[in-house]
Amino acid sequence: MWRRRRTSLPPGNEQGFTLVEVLVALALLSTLGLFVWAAAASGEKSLRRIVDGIRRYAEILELDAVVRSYAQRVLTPYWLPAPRSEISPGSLSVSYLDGSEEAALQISFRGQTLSVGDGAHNAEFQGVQDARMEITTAPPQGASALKLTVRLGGRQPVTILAALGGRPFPLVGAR
Amino acid sequence: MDSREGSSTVLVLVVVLFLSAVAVGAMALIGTSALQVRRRLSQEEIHRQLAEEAGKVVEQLGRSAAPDVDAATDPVWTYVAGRRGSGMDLTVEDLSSRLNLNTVRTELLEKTGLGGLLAPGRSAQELRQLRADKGPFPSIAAYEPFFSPAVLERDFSVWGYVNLNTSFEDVLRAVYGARTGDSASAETFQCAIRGFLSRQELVKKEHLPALLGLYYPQLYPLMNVEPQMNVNFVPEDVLRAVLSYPYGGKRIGGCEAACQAILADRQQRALTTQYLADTVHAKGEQVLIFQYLGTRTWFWRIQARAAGRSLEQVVARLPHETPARFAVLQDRFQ
Repeated sequence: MWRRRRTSLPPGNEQGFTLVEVLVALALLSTLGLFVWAAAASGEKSLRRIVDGIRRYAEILELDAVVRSYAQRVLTPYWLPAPRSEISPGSLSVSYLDGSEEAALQISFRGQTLSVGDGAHNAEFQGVQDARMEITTAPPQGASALKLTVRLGGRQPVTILAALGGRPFPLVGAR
Repeated sequence: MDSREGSSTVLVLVVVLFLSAVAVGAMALIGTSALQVRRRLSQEEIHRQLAEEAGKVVEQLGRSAAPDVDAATDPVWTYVAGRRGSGMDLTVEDLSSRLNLNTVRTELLEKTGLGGLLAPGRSAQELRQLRADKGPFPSIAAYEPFFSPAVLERDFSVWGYVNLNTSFEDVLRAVYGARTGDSASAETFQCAIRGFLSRQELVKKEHLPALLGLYYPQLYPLMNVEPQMNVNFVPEDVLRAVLSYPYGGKRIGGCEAACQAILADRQQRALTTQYLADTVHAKGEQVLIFQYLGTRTWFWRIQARAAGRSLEQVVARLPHETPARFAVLQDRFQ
């Protein structure tokens, strides 16, 4: 609290604040404090939102890198008509990981956890609300690709389209 | 200082400190993420550049110096050599002019010098059994027990079209069945192929629609009757083996001289189908050699490397397409 100095008055004639002055000062300070607190709370909320967004973006980037790197290792023989895959609700398996018929890229989604790997070594991503997967084709040359659509943190779904390393010979005989 | 002074300053300081701490944390996270994004973008950019370079190589492969011939005199080799020292390392390899272990008749290994390349204690029969049990294989690594790594890389491959005249009939049935999912039709097809073999008749292009039937659009040109290997690039061991094999029980006359002539002449010029017919004096059943040896390369491997990353593509030239068209069968960025 400030002490008002009335320098224009003669020495020894100093006066304190009146009750009204103190109440007004308190009210002003309280209002100011409230504003500061509200601003701080709002700032912290915004920062938290930004941080969450960044964290989510980093997670998506990591998921994207993992899915792409595994998809590249799927070497479907060119004499097959399509990649050999098995799809069931919440899981997808694509054979010929590293060119071996017995090895497969496996993606599964259970209880908010998305798992990507070869069954023995898997990368896990927590807090996934929804995940859908399928084998499709990707532009520009219609390469076989893995399409994974995930929803993280209640946001808009994100789609990852990762081309497989090996591709079946295209249908050109009908031309 | 009066003890009552500065209470609001402390409040503001606490708030400012708290916000600063949160801001520093956020900035650190933003910094890490930005680095991650930058790394990813630069990776994408390198991938784009490598793919563009591979695309240019494919474009060059389509521009042969002589019609229907791929040879060491083609513009693609000048292009590849011209890119040296530019920060972009390019490699182009003919994959289909090596002997395809997925389809080869094992007699070719048994009755020629190629048998001597088998690892000690291994036989062509064992290779055939492995292929019948588990093949065909998408990776040459499956044949590692049978050959040394250097021989495997130099002389053999698992890439190439499936020639109906030179491929082992069990493999023809397996590929037909795998491609169409119709094992009954695959059996019928195998019987038809055996008919051609017993009549000692070559399958010709005009036989294909009837032989492949309803599945022709799925099977052609994957299965065809184009010469498998390019005489301009076929490895010496394989060339000698194909020339010395006793087709119909009889060797081609002057096969070693033909081999020497081919090896010398292909350094100087592009060898054409006419050259092949003039140099290799095949008669009767021996003309089967022209199903092995031709002048076109069908499958190429292109490797482009820059900034510590590499892109490997395997492309197949589609037969009888003008302008040249290629299908990408493998595309790996690492």
